[in-house]
Amino acid sequence: MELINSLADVPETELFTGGHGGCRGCGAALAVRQAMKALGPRTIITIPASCMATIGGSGLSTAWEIPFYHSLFECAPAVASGIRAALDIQGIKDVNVVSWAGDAGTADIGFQSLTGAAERQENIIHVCYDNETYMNTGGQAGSITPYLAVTPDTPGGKPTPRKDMLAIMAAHHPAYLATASVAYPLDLIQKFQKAGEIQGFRYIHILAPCFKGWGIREDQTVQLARLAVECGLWQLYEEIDGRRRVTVIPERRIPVREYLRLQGRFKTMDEAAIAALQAEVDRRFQEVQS
Amino acid sequence: MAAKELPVVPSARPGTMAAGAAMERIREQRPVIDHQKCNLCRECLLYCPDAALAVDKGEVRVDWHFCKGCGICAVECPVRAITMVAEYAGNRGFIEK
Repeated sequence: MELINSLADVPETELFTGGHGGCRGCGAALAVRQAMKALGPRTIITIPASCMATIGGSGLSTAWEIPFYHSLFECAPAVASGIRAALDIQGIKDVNVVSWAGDAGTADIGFQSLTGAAERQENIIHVCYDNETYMNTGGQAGSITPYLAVTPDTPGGKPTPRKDMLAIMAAHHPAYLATASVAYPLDLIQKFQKAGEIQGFRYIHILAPCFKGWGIREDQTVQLARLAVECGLWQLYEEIDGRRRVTVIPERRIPVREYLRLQGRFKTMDEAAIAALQAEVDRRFQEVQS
Repeated sequence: MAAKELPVVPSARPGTMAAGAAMERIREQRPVIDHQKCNLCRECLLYCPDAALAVDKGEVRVDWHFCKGCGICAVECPVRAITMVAEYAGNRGFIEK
């Protein structure tokens, strides 16, 4: 397999076309566009209730150029497992089956079927596009919303820290596990290429900012995704058979304060909380990079 | 009847949202590309959430059918070749072609 190493090699075909129903500067649409460059036309995608389900189709029209199945909130990985079983019976081998869910469809509401599919080592790719809140229903806090983030139902800041979804998924021993960011498209595309080549359960977690939920400007989506990597809160790595390899080492490190202060949702965070978070990030950065 | 023989009834033709798109209605600003400055690095192509940018005949072009005017391309361009200018659409103004 030839990995895409330069922007000139990225295929021009759009399998998620323009004109979709996303907001201006939508991080989710960006993630899907970049991922589809690697997954290719032989892909079947299943998406539970989420922004992504509504962006890509309204029943009478669709932005997808590939088969797209809109499942219930709880069961995208289960539906994907069923699609894989149907393909296996027909002897079709060269199709990527992808369940693409938001952070709620992955970590909270869809977690039961996700852990089931991961435990059975289903031959599917599960992707979590993570905007850190329930944006399709108005931005409520979920279990992977960051500590002290202001959302409509945590107006004083979320009182509990974010759950470590990657550690939870790593504990299922998937064939492939990776983090990605919309600010590093080549890294994201290469990870999807690698995932497509591997058999077994594969999990990719993409940080895809949402300007509305994060309290930023529409044109800052990519900028904030990059700052999250540079401050160390979001680290880009992959794990094949449990062996971790860091794929992007940020060229410059910035303090988390710089990342947090650009966002409206952290306006209630005081300096003591930022210092505590900085210490936690530094510890975690060392742990992953070593 | 075998499962294979069941009719497949897609609810929509692929890509039909693109055919109906008319982003002029929601665009408040639009990117203007300085082709002298542009070095065709293609960074903006993958950062556009709406697939509105493409390289055509050696120049980056904007598909006005798709562009929503978010401004990500202008922020991310490494050589600052893209600027956003205000656009007045609908009954308040006109769209310059």
